Amino acid sequence: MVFSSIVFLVYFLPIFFTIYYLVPRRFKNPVILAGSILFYAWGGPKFIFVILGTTIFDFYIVRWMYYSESAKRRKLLLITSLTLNVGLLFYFKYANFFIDNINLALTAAGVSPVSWLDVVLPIGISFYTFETITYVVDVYRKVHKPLDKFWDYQLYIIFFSKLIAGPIVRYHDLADQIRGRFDNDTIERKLSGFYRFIIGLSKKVLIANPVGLYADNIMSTGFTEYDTATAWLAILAYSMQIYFDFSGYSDMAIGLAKMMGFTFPENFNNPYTSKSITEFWRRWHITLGNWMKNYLYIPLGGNQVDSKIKLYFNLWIVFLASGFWHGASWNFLIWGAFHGLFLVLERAFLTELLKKVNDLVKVGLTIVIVMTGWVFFRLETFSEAIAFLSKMYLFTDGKFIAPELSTLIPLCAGFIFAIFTLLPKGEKIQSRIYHSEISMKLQILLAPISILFFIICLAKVAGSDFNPFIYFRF
Amino acid sequence: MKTNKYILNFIFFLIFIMLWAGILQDHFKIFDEPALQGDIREVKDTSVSIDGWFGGEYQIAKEHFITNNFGFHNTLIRINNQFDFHMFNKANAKEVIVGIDNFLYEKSYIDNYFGRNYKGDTYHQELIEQIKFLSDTLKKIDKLLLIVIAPGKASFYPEYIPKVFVGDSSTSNYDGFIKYARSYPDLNILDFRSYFSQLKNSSNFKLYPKYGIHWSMYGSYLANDSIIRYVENKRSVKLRRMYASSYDYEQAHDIDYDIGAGMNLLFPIGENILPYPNYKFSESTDFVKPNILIIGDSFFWNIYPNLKTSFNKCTFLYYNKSVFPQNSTAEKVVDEEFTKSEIDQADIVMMIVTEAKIESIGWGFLNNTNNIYRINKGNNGPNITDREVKELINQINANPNWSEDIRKKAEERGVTYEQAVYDDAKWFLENKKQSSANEQ
Repeated sequence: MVFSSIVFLVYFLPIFFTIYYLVPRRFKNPVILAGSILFYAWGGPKFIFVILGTTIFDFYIVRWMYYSESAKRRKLLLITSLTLNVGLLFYFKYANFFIDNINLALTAAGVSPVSWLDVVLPIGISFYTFETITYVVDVYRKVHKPLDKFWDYQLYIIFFSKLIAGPIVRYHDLADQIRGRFDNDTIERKLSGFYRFIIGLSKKVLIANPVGLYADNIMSTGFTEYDTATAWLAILAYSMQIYFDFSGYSDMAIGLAKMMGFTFPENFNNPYTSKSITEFWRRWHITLGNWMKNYLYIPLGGNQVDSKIKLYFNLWIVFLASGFWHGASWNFLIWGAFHGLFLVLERAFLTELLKKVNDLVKVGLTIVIVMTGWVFFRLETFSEAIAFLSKMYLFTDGKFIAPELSTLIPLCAGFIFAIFTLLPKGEKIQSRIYHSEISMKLQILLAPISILFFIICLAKVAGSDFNPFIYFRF
Repeated sequence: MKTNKYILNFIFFLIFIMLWAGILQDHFKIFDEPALQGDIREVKDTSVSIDGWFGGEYQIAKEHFITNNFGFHNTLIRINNQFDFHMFNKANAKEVIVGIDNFLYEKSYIDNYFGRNYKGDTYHQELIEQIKFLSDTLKKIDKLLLIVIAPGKASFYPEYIPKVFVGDSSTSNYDGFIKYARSYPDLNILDFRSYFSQLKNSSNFKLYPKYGIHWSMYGSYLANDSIIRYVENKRSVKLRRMYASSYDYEQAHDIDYDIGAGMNLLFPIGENILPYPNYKFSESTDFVKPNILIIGDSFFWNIYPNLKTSFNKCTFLYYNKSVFPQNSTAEKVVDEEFTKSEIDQADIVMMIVTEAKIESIGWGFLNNTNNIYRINKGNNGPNITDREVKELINQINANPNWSEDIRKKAEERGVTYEQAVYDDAKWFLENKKQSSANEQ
């Protein structure tokens, strides 16, 4: 079940929120938990037991760790929990990748390959594993005490609003809200949450989906027959698709949580307005960046290392890990390394070099670098990525495939929305809708607009597969 | 401030009503939603089982069912289609092309018009041979074979085809068919593509609707009238005739708006007033009512109600698969036995096809009749065409040794050389095909 499906929008959403709003306060968390278990079990009926099992284990291990007086035991329990969680992530997400590569090497060496049955990936495992790690580590570091009730911990991990695609909510950002959010749960916040949900849904359905069709059409097969302009249009379309899809989903998650009184951290902040790759990573998937900083980069020494080489190496390791976190393939690693390289170059000299360059030029350059990186993110093999990059940069001949109007309009609209906060007025508008209290006038304006967009999005979702013949075909 | 709270709570309440609308409509059917048009396949509901749940099949099937059957589904589909049509000039119906000035086409008609799927000369040669064989065979048993070619929209309105679909013209299947049909002037062919294109600018009324894929009701009325007159002429009989006594001018509907309806929009596409004839029978009573068997596509539907009044038994094999009229609930199987039985009862056999699908004429009917009335009748032998026999005869005549052998055989049998070479060619081909069939 995804947020942009009929099952969720027409059935789960109204039923869940009706029950949630009607039950007394003491039952609201159990309702969220029950809804979340149903939500996850619908998409991963077998894996619900994996997530329930690991949360039981982690809850009690962390309590034991917290209440242990022996530092040695505390460290041992920390390692045990981390090993289990990271081990499970490695098994489910990366085992296939490692076995495939080992078998490639064995075959090349003339040795018979290892026989292996491909493992299926539980949905959301990358997200909830990272959240589990924040719980374990934050308790270990005594940033926050562990939760008293097992069901509260379950709720934190399995909360349907963020379970499948984030944001990665660190434990101490949510801990006090589980039981302490109700005084902030006002009608204004509920409405604000709904508007945010609609913004996210519109981003996904009205922009990401249609531009994604063009990107898929060009980049899936046979792109060698297309020309350079088509290649650039396709990667631009993909850049818009991935941004509006991911940030749209985050908006929906944040909005849904707000409707229940929770405040989730922001996950995107107009990344395509960045003037450098460093800035890009402060605006793109912010919660992943924060996680990497707090749970990988700082433990590696952070900015406090004694040599620049070690600093650059640590940065690069963090970005390799970020890349690999996204998917088990060499291309994701290369994508991570690509971004890591630019981060290092900026630290080393690039930022200084580009100091006097016009801001708009810097934004343009950053967009081009990011779009180039997306080629590795989107295409499955290294050779395909190189072939596509050759298309982009070597100005080869071929067919030009103009996007249809149904792609071109969302593509242009998406691009404008992606960069409109470069204008001061744009920042102001975003702030008024996302972050400030919404005035009565704006409420009366936003309510019918939201309803209209909800209906249009629902129509688009319903019609996405509707394309019958006029007559039955014999 | 309290007023503001009330207003905000009311707004939230309205939003909630909207969220519940789908469920309420699904269960209580508060509003009547018109059914969607087109080839819509029913999606059946599923029931839950432990295996189905844990295997994930239940969820997939249930989501599929819900997505196609939830409350206000049809209305939302129309909203989506209207949105796409209005914003992007896009039709969410397979193969439908929105042309210049919103003239609607099906892509296959455009492709066929530009010759993009030409089957080749050999294909059409063989097709005409099959038709010729059937025509001659039916003639021997005093039956008339009539081929009716309905015009396709792309050939009738090429000027409204969007530029992106316009290409270099090459031989189309219609061109190929007509070219080889001309070698047999005795074939009974009514070519309405040619006739309608001549009438296009001089006709009182539109022969083709803007938003439909078939000829208009008026166009089909002209076609029906022409068919009746042709049959009368060929059979030297007088048939019962209908004529249009008056016309009602209405917004295009039913078959005249079939593509428009199939686009499933919220609002009609635009105005397209067409004449709908009011029919009267001619006063003459000295008519006969022969039997007719029709094998055709959807272009016959416009003609069917009128044509059947001129005939006694009027059986229509729709795409040679469905039998009309449907007299019983059991679906009749259109096999060779059924085909022979219907031909035996018919005085006229009519094959009607749009020029855009002319390569499919008969949809297996010609194969069936070939098997029923094959050249080597009485044996369960392979199919040999006249063309194959003629080609082999030419080869034999060009081979001195072979032709000398045939000459000797002819003398021994006391038959002409021509008879002997024909028999030999036929025998040779039969054996060759039979051997190939046995090897398979």
